[in-house]
Amino acid sequence: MFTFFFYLAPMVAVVLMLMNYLMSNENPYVEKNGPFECGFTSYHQSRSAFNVSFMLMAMLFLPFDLEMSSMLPYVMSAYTNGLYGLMMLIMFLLQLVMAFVYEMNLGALNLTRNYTPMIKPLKHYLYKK
Amino acid sequence: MLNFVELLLMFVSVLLAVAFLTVAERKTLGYMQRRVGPNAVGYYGMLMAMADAAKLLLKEMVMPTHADKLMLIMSPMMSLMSAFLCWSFMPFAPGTTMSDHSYGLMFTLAMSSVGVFGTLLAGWSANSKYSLLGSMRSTAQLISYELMLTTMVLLCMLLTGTMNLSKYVELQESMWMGVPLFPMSMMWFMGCVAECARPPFDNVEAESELVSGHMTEYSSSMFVLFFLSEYTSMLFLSTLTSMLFFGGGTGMMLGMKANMFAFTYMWVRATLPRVRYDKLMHMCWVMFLPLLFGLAMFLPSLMYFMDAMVYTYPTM
Repeated sequence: MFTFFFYLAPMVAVVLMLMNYLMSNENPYVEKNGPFECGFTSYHQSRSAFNVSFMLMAMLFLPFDLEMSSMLPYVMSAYTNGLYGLMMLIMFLLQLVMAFVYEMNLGALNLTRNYTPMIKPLKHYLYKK
Repeated sequence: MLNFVELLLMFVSVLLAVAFLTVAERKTLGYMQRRVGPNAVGYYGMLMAMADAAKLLLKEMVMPTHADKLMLIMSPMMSLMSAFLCWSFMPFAPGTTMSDHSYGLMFTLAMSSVGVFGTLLAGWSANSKYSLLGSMRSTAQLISYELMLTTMVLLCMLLTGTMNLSKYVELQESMWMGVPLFPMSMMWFMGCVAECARPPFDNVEAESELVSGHMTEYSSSMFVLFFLSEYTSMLFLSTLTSMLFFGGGTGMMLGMKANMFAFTYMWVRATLPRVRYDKLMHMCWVMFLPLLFGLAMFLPSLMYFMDAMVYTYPTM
Protein backbone atom coordinates (compact mmCIF):
# COMPACT_ATOMS: atom_id res chain seq x y z
CA MET A 1 0.00 0.00 0.00
CA PHE A 2 2.81 2.33 0.91
CA THR A 3 4.67 1.60 -2.30
CA PHE A 4 1.56 2.57 -4.25
CA PHE A 5 1.40 5.86 -2.40
CA PHE A 6 5.11 6.31 -2.99
CA TYR A 7 4.44 6.22 -6.72
CA LEU A 8 1.21 8.18 -6.49
CA ALA A 9 2.78 11.30 -4.97
CA PRO A 10 5.18 12.10 -7.83
CA MET A 11 2.60 10.93 -10.35
CA VAL A 12 0.27 13.71 -9.25
CA ALA A 13 3.04 16.24 -9.82
CA VAL A 14 3.83 14.82 -13.27
CA VAL A 15 0.16 14.75 -14.26
CA LEU A 16 -0.34 18.36 -13.18
CA MET A 17 2.64 19.50 -15.22
CA LEU A 18 1.63 17.42 -18.23
CA MET A 19 -1.89 18.88 -18.13
CA ASN A 20 -0.42 22.34 -18.03
CA TYR A 21 1.95 21.53 -20.91
CA LEU A 22 -0.92 20.27 -23.05
CA MET A 23 -3.41 23.03 -22.26
CA SER A 24 -1.31 26.17 -22.12
CA ASN A 25 -0.44 28.47 -24.99
CA GLU A 26 3.12 29.58 -25.59
CA ASN A 27 4.45 32.97 -26.53
CA PRO A 28 8.08 33.21 -25.40
CA TYR A 29 10.25 36.25 -26.03
CA VAL A 30 13.56 37.50 -24.66
CA GLU A 31 12.26 39.80 -21.95
CA LYS A 32 9.86 37.20 -20.64
CA ASN A 33 12.36 34.39 -20.54
CA GLY A 34 15.27 36.34 -19.12
CA PRO A 35 16.03 36.34 -15.41
CA PHE A 36 13.68 38.53 -13.41
CA GLU A 37 15.02 42.05 -12.97
CA CYS A 38 13.56 45.45 -12.30
CA GLY A 39 13.61 47.58 -15.42
CA PHE A 40 16.64 46.23 -17.27
CA THR A 41 17.71 43.05 -18.99
CA SER A 42 20.07 41.03 -16.90
CA TYR A 43 22.77 39.52 -19.10
CA HIS A 44 25.17 38.29 -16.46
CA GLN A 45 25.45 34.83 -15.14
CA SER A 46 23.42 35.34 -12.00
CA ARG A 47 24.93 32.56 -9.98
CA SER A 48 26.97 34.90 -7.89
CA ALA A 49 28.94 34.23 -4.74
CA PHE A 50 27.04 34.16 -1.49
CA ASN A 51 27.92 34.93 2.09
CA VAL A 52 30.14 32.34 3.73
CA SER A 53 28.16 32.41 6.96
CA PHE A 54 25.36 30.46 5.26
CA MET A 55 27.85 27.77 4.39
CA LEU A 56 29.11 27.82 7.95
CA MET A 57 25.55 27.41 9.20
CA ALA A 58 25.15 24.36 6.97
CA MET A 59 28.40 22.89 8.27
CA LEU A 60 27.39 23.46 11.87
CA PHE A 61 24.15 21.71 11.08
CA LEU A 62 26.03 18.50 10.34
CA PRO A 63 27.43 17.64 13.81
CA PHE A 64 24.14 18.45 15.46
CA ASP A 65 22.23 16.33 13.01
CA LEU A 66 24.66 13.50 13.71
CA GLU A 67 24.13 14.10 17.39
CA MET A 68 20.42 13.60 16.86
CA SER A 69 20.91 10.36 15.00
CA SER A 70 23.19 9.07 17.75
CA MET A 71 20.62 10.04 20.37
CA LEU A 72 17.92 8.10 18.58
CA PRO A 73 18.90 4.58 19.76
CA TYR A 74 19.02 5.74 23.38
CA VAL A 75 15.69 7.47 23.06
CA MET A 76 14.03 4.34 21.71
CA SER A 77 15.42 2.09 24.45
CA ALA A 78 15.49 4.44 27.42
CA TYR A 79 13.57 2.01 29.63
CA THR A 80 16.08 -0.81 29.22
CA ASN A 81 19.37 1.11 29.21
CA GLY A 82 19.54 2.03 32.85
CA LEU A 83 22.13 4.20 34.52
CA TYR A 84 24.98 3.23 32.18
CA GLY A 85 23.12 4.37 29.09
CA LEU A 86 22.01 7.57 30.78
CA MET A 87 25.57 8.42 31.84
CA MET A 88 26.82 7.77 28.30
CA LEU A 89 24.11 10.01 26.85
CA ILE A 90 24.87 12.80 29.29
CA MET A 91 28.63 12.61 28.74
CA PHE A 92 28.09 12.69 24.98
CA LEU A 93 25.75 15.65 25.20
CA LEU A 94 28.06 17.51 27.58
CA GLN A 95 30.92 17.21 25.11
CA LEU A 96 28.70 18.64 22.41
CA VAL A 97 27.58 21.45 24.68
CA MET A 98 31.19 22.39 25.35
CA ALA A 99 31.87 22.51 21.62
CA PHE A 100 28.73 24.55 21.13
CA VAL A 101 29.76 27.08 23.76
CA TYR A 102 33.11 27.43 22.00
CA GLU A 103 31.33 28.03 18.70
CA MET A 104 29.07 30.64 20.18
CA ASN A 105 32.07 32.44 21.64
CA LEU A 106 33.83 32.27 18.31
CA GLY A 107 30.91 34.14 16.81
CA ALA A 108 30.34 31.47 14.17
CA LEU A 109 26.59 31.76 14.61
CA ASN A 110 26.45 35.47 13.76
CA LEU A 111 25.12 36.22 10.31
CA THR A 112 26.80 39.60 10.20
CA ARG A 113 28.91 40.72 7.27
CA ASN A 114 32.06 41.70 9.11
CA TYR A 115 32.82 38.26 10.37
CA THR A 116 36.14 38.15 12.21
CA PRO A 117 37.24 34.83 13.67
CA MET A 118 38.28 36.14 17.05
CA ILE A 119 37.86 34.28 20.31
CA LYS A 120 36.23 36.37 22.97
CA PRO A 121 37.22 35.62 26.59
CA LEU A 122 35.00 32.84 27.83
CA LYS A 123 32.41 33.89 30.35
CA HIS A 124 32.96 31.52 33.24
CA TYR A 125 31.35 33.61 35.95
CA LEU A 126 27.66 34.06 36.56
CA TYR A 127 27.92 37.53 38.13
CA LYS A 128 30.61 40.13 38.62
CA LYS A 129 31.84 40.88 42.08
CA MET B 1 -9.01 -3.36 -4.66
CA LEU B 2 -10.79 -1.77 -1.72
CA ASN B 3 -7.38 -0.89 -0.31
CA PHE B 4 -6.62 1.26 -3.33
CA VAL B 5 -9.97 2.99 -3.05
CA GLU B 6 -9.27 3.75 0.59
CA LEU B 7 -5.82 5.09 -0.23
CA LEU B 8 -7.16 7.27 -3.03
CA LEU B 9 -9.92 8.51 -0.74
CA MET B 10 -7.38 9.57 1.88
CA PHE B 11 -5.12 11.13 -0.69
CA VAL B 12 -7.93 13.08 -2.30
CA SER B 13 -9.10 14.27 1.10
CA VAL B 14 -5.60 15.54 1.89
CA LEU B 15 -5.52 17.34 -1.46
CA LEU B 16 -8.96 18.86 -0.92
CA ALA B 17 -8.05 19.93 2.61
CA VAL B 18 -5.01 21.71 1.25
CA ALA B 19 -7.05 23.34 -1.50
CA PHE B 20 -9.65 24.66 0.91
CA LEU B 21 -6.95 25.74 3.36
CA THR B 22 -5.78 28.30 0.80
CA VAL B 23 -9.30 29.72 0.50
CA ALA B 24 -9.65 29.67 4.27
CA GLU B 25 -6.42 31.59 4.61
CA ARG B 26 -7.50 34.25 2.13
CA LYS B 27 -10.87 34.60 3.80
CA THR B 28 -9.35 34.77 7.29
CA LEU B 29 -6.76 37.33 6.27
CA GLY B 30 -9.48 39.29 4.52
CA TYR B 31 -11.72 39.51 7.56
CA MET B 32 -8.75 40.26 9.83
CA GLN B 33 -7.89 43.22 7.60
CA ARG B 34 -11.54 44.40 7.44
CA ARG B 35 -12.20 43.40 3.86
CA VAL B 36 -14.25 40.61 2.42
CA GLY B 37 -11.73 38.40 0.67
CA PRO B 38 -12.75 36.07 -2.15
CA ASN B 39 -16.54 35.99 -2.32
CA ALA B 40 -17.54 35.67 -5.96
CA VAL B 41 -16.72 32.13 -7.05
CA GLY B 42 -19.11 29.51 -5.75
CA TYR B 43 -20.95 29.83 -2.47
CA TYR B 44 -19.23 32.61 -0.44
CA GLY B 45 -16.10 32.12 -2.54
CA MET B 46 -15.70 28.52 -1.50
CA LEU B 47 -14.70 27.32 -4.96
CA MET B 48 -11.94 29.92 -5.26
CA ALA B 49 -9.32 27.17 -4.92
CA MET B 50 -10.68 25.32 -7.95
CA ALA B 51 -10.81 28.53 -9.97
CA ASP B 52 -7.24 29.37 -9.00
CA ALA B 53 -6.03 25.91 -9.93
CA ALA B 54 -7.81 26.04 -13.28
CA LYS B 55 -6.37 29.49 -14.02
CA LEU B 56 -2.83 28.49 -13.09
CA LEU B 57 -3.01 25.30 -15.13
CA LEU B 58 -4.00 27.28 -18.22
CA LYS B 59 -1.05 29.67 -17.96
CA GLU B 60 2.15 29.49 -19.95
CA MET B 61 5.11 27.58 -18.55
CA VAL B 62 7.91 30.10 -18.73
CA MET B 63 11.32 28.48 -19.09
CA PRO B 64 14.07 30.93 -18.10
CA THR B 65 16.78 31.09 -20.76
CA HIS B 66 19.88 30.16 -18.79
CA ALA B 67 18.13 27.88 -16.38
CA ASP B 68 19.04 24.29 -15.71
CA LYS B 69 15.88 22.80 -17.23
CA LEU B 70 15.94 19.38 -15.61
CA MET B 71 16.58 20.76 -12.14
CA LEU B 72 13.99 23.44 -12.70
CA ILE B 73 11.34 20.81 -13.35
CA MET B 74 12.54 18.32 -10.78
CA SER B 75 12.73 20.62 -7.77
CA PRO B 76 9.01 21.45 -7.40
CA MET B 77 8.23 17.78 -7.89
CA MET B 78 10.67 16.89 -5.15
CA SER B 79 9.21 19.32 -2.68
CA LEU B 80 5.64 18.22 -3.46
CA MET B 81 6.58 14.57 -3.14
CA SER B 82 8.23 15.11 0.22
CA ALA B 83 5.24 17.07 1.48
CA PHE B 84 2.80 14.35 0.40
CA LEU B 85 4.87 11.43 1.66
CA CYS B 86 4.89 12.99 5.13
CA TRP B 87 1.22 12.06 5.32
CA SER B 88 1.76 8.37 4.68
CA PHE B 89 2.03 7.37 8.34
CA MET B 90 -0.47 9.79 9.82
CA PRO B 91 -3.30 7.94 11.56
CA PHE B 92 -6.61 9.70 10.94
CA ALA B 93 -8.46 7.17 13.12
CA PRO B 94 -7.54 3.80 14.66
CA GLY B 95 -6.31 1.68 11.77
CA THR B 96 -7.04 4.39 9.22
CA THR B 97 -3.58 5.17 7.93
CA MET B 98 -2.05 4.88 4.52
CA SER B 99 0.40 2.48 6.09
CA ASP B 100 0.84 1.43 9.69
CA HIS B 101 4.47 0.94 10.58
CA SER B 102 6.44 0.93 13.81
CA TYR B 103 9.07 3.27 12.33
CA GLY B 104 6.58 5.63 10.72
CA LEU B 105 7.68 8.77 12.49
CA MET B 106 11.26 8.16 11.40
CA PHE B 107 10.19 8.05 7.76
CA THR B 108 8.17 11.21 8.29
CA LEU B 109 11.24 13.01 9.65
CA ALA B 110 13.32 11.82 6.73
CA MET B 111 10.75 12.97 4.20
CA SER B 112 10.38 16.38 5.76
CA SER B 113 14.14 16.85 5.40
CA VAL B 114 14.04 15.94 1.72
CA GLY B 115 11.85 18.99 1.16
CA VAL B 116 14.88 21.22 1.68
CA PHE B 117 16.41 19.92 -1.54
CA GLY B 118 13.42 21.21 -3.47
CA THR B 119 13.94 24.81 -2.42
CA LEU B 120 17.73 24.60 -2.68
CA LEU B 121 17.74 23.23 -6.22
CA ALA B 122 14.94 25.57 -7.27
CA GLY B 123 16.99 28.60 -6.31
CA TRP B 124 20.12 27.27 -7.92
CA SER B 125 18.59 26.18 -11.19
CA ALA B 126 16.59 29.28 -12.03
CA ASN B 127 19.62 31.51 -12.70
CA SER B 128 18.21 34.56 -11.00
CA LYS B 129 19.82 36.54 -8.21
CA TYR B 130 16.63 36.69 -6.19
CA SER B 131 16.11 32.95 -6.46
CA LEU B 132 19.65 32.21 -5.38
CA LEU B 133 19.55 34.52 -2.39
CA GLY B 134 16.10 33.25 -1.42
CA SER B 135 17.16 29.63 -1.62
CA MET B 136 20.32 30.28 0.43
CA ARG B 137 18.22 31.90 3.11
CA SER B 138 15.54 29.26 3.04
CA THR B 139 18.06 26.41 3.18
CA ALA B 140 19.82 27.86 6.20
CA GLN B 141 16.50 28.55 7.92
CA LEU B 142 14.94 25.19 7.11
CA ILE B 143 17.87 23.07 8.24
CA SER B 144 18.31 25.06 11.44
CA TYR B 145 14.69 24.77 12.42
CA GLU B 146 14.53 21.17 11.32
CA LEU B 147 17.28 20.45 13.83
CA MET B 148 15.09 21.93 16.52
CA LEU B 149 11.94 20.11 15.47
CA THR B 150 13.76 16.79 15.20
CA THR B 151 15.15 17.17 18.71
CA MET B 152 11.67 17.83 20.01
CA VAL B 153 10.26 14.80 18.20
CA LEU B 154 13.08 12.74 19.75
CA LEU B 155 12.11 13.97 23.20
CA CYS B 156 8.50 12.98 22.53
CA MET B 157 9.78 9.56 21.47
CA LEU B 158 11.62 9.38 24.78
CA LEU B 159 8.41 9.87 26.70
CA THR B 160 6.32 7.49 24.62
CA GLY B 161 9.00 5.00 23.63
CA THR B 162 7.55 4.41 20.18
CA MET B 163 7.68 5.75 16.66
CA ASN B 164 4.20 4.62 15.70
CA LEU B 165 1.92 7.63 15.64
CA SER B 166 -1.19 5.59 16.46
CA LYS B 167 0.36 4.75 19.80
CA TYR B 168 0.84 8.41 20.61
CA VAL B 169 -2.90 8.85 20.45
CA GLU B 170 -3.49 5.85 22.69
CA LEU B 171 -0.88 6.98 25.21
CA GLN B 172 -2.29 10.45 25.45
CA GLU B 173 -5.77 9.32 26.42
CA SER B 174 -4.86 9.83 30.09
CA MET B 175 -3.03 13.11 29.67
CA TRP B 176 -1.88 15.26 26.78
CA MET B 177 1.86 15.40 26.37
CA GLY B 178 1.53 19.15 26.00
CA VAL B 179 0.81 19.40 29.73
CA PRO B 180 4.19 18.30 31.12
CA LEU B 181 5.95 19.59 28.01
CA PHE B 182 4.08 22.86 27.72
CA PRO B 183 7.15 25.09 27.15
CA MET B 184 8.40 22.66 24.56
CA SER B 185 5.08 22.64 22.74
CA MET B 186 5.24 26.43 22.48
CA MET B 187 8.74 26.16 21.05
CA TRP B 188 7.50 23.46 18.72
CA PHE B 189 4.81 25.76 17.39
CA MET B 190 7.29 28.56 16.74
CA GLY B 191 9.59 26.07 15.05
CA CYS B 192 6.73 24.85 12.87
CA VAL B 193 5.91 28.37 11.72
CA ALA B 194 9.57 28.90 10.82
CA GLU B 195 9.88 25.52 9.16
CA CYS B 196 6.96 26.31 6.86
CA ALA B 197 8.46 29.78 6.24
CA ARG B 198 5.17 31.36 7.21
CA PRO B 199 4.89 35.12 7.57
CA PRO B 200 6.47 36.24 10.80
CA PHE B 201 9.48 34.21 9.66
CA ASP B 202 9.07 34.45 5.89
CA ASN B 203 12.37 36.15 5.12
CA VAL B 204 12.75 33.45 2.52
CA GLU B 205 10.30 35.25 0.26
CA ALA B 206 10.28 38.73 1.69
CA GLU B 207 8.55 40.61 -1.11
CA SER B 208 10.37 43.88 -0.57
CA GLU B 209 13.85 42.32 -0.68
CA LEU B 210 13.65 39.11 -2.70
CA VAL B 211 10.74 39.18 -5.07
CA SER B 212 9.35 35.77 -4.29
CA GLY B 213 12.39 33.95 -2.98
CA HIS B 214 13.17 30.67 -4.68
CA MET B 215 9.86 30.79 -6.57
CA THR B 216 10.69 33.97 -8.48
CA GLU B 217 11.24 32.31 -11.86
CA TYR B 218 8.44 29.80 -11.53
CA SER B 219 5.13 30.08 -13.28
CA SER B 220 1.91 28.12 -13.81
CA SER B 221 1.92 24.47 -12.76
CA MET B 222 5.46 24.49 -11.37
CA PHE B 223 4.42 27.29 -9.05
CA VAL B 224 1.28 25.31 -8.17
CA LEU B 225 3.47 22.44 -7.03
CA PHE B 226 5.46 24.71 -4.71
CA PHE B 227 2.30 26.31 -3.43
CA LEU B 228 0.66 22.94 -2.78
CA SER B 229 3.74 21.61 -1.03
CA GLU B 230 3.92 24.65 1.24
CA TYR B 231 0.31 24.32 2.32
CA THR B 232 0.51 20.54 2.59
CA SER B 233 3.46 20.75 4.92
CA MET B 234 1.72 23.46 6.91
CA LEU B 235 -1.36 21.32 7.36
CA PHE B 236 0.81 18.31 8.11
CA LEU B 237 2.76 20.10 10.78
CA SER B 238 -0.40 21.37 12.43
CA THR B 239 -1.76 17.81 12.46
CA LEU B 240 1.53 16.58 13.90
CA THR B 241 1.34 19.27 16.59
CA SER B 242 -2.04 18.00 17.68
CA MET B 243 -0.75 14.43 17.43
CA LEU B 244 2.40 14.87 19.48
CA PHE B 245 1.39 17.38 22.11
CA PHE B 246 -2.38 17.79 22.18
CA GLY B 247 -3.71 14.28 22.27
CA GLY B 248 -4.35 13.64 18.60
CA GLY B 249 -7.78 12.12 18.58
CA THR B 250 -9.72 10.26 15.96
CA GLY B 251 -11.55 11.46 12.90
CA MET B 252 -13.52 14.62 13.59
CA MET B 253 -11.62 15.49 16.76
CA LEU B 254 -8.25 15.29 15.03
CA GLY B 255 -9.59 17.39 12.18
CA MET B 256 -10.84 20.06 14.56
CA LYS B 257 -7.55 20.23 16.43
CA ALA B 258 -5.53 20.34 13.22
CA ASN B 259 -7.79 23.07 11.87
CA MET B 260 -7.33 25.07 15.03
CA PHE B 261 -3.56 24.97 14.65
CA ALA B 262 -3.80 25.72 10.95
CA PHE B 263 -5.92 28.74 11.84
CA THR B 264 -3.23 29.86 14.29
CA TYR B 265 -0.76 30.09 11.41
CA MET B 266 -3.05 32.55 9.64
CA TRP B 267 -3.73 34.44 12.82
CA VAL B 268 -0.01 34.86 13.40
CA ARG B 269 0.39 35.96 9.80
CA ALA B 270 -2.25 38.64 10.15
CA THR B 271 -0.93 39.87 13.48
CA LEU B 272 2.85 39.99 13.55
CA PRO B 273 5.38 41.91 11.45
CA ARG B 274 8.34 40.17 9.85
CA VAL B 275 11.35 39.30 12.00
CA ARG B 276 14.82 40.27 10.85
CA TYR B 277 16.69 37.32 9.34
CA ASP B 278 19.73 37.25 11.61
CA LYS B 279 17.46 37.53 14.65
CA LEU B 280 15.51 34.55 13.38
CA MET B 281 18.64 32.43 13.03
CA HIS B 282 19.84 33.73 16.37
CA MET B 283 16.61 32.60 17.99
CA CYS B 284 17.13 29.08 16.66
CA TRP B 285 20.82 28.61 17.38
CA VAL B 286 21.41 30.63 20.51
CA MET B 287 18.06 30.43 22.29
CA PHE B 288 16.20 27.27 21.33
CA LEU B 289 19.01 24.85 20.63
CA PRO B 290 20.86 25.21 23.98
CA LEU B 291 17.50 24.98 25.73
CA LEU B 292 16.77 21.75 23.90
CA PHE B 293 20.20 20.37 24.81
CA GLY B 294 19.37 21.08 28.41
CA LEU B 295 16.01 19.35 28.03
CA ALA B 296 17.63 16.37 26.30
CA MET B 297 19.82 15.92 29.36
CA PHE B 298 17.16 16.79 31.92
CA LEU B 299 14.26 14.66 30.72
CA PRO B 300 16.08 11.28 30.61
CA SER B 301 17.65 12.04 34.00
CA LEU B 302 14.28 12.90 35.46
CA MET B 303 12.74 9.75 34.04
CA TYR B 304 15.58 7.61 35.35
CA PHE B 305 15.40 9.28 38.75
CA MET B 306 11.69 8.65 39.10
CA ASP B 307 12.00 5.02 38.02
CA ALA B 308 15.01 4.45 40.29
CA MET B 309 13.20 5.97 43.20
CA VAL B 310 10.40 3.47 42.72
CA TYR B 311 12.86 0.58 42.86
CA THR B 312 14.90 1.92 45.77
CA TYR B 313 12.07 3.05 47.96
CA PRO B 314 9.13 0.81 47.12
CA THR B 315 6.94 2.54 49.67
CA MET B 316 7.20 5.90 47.98
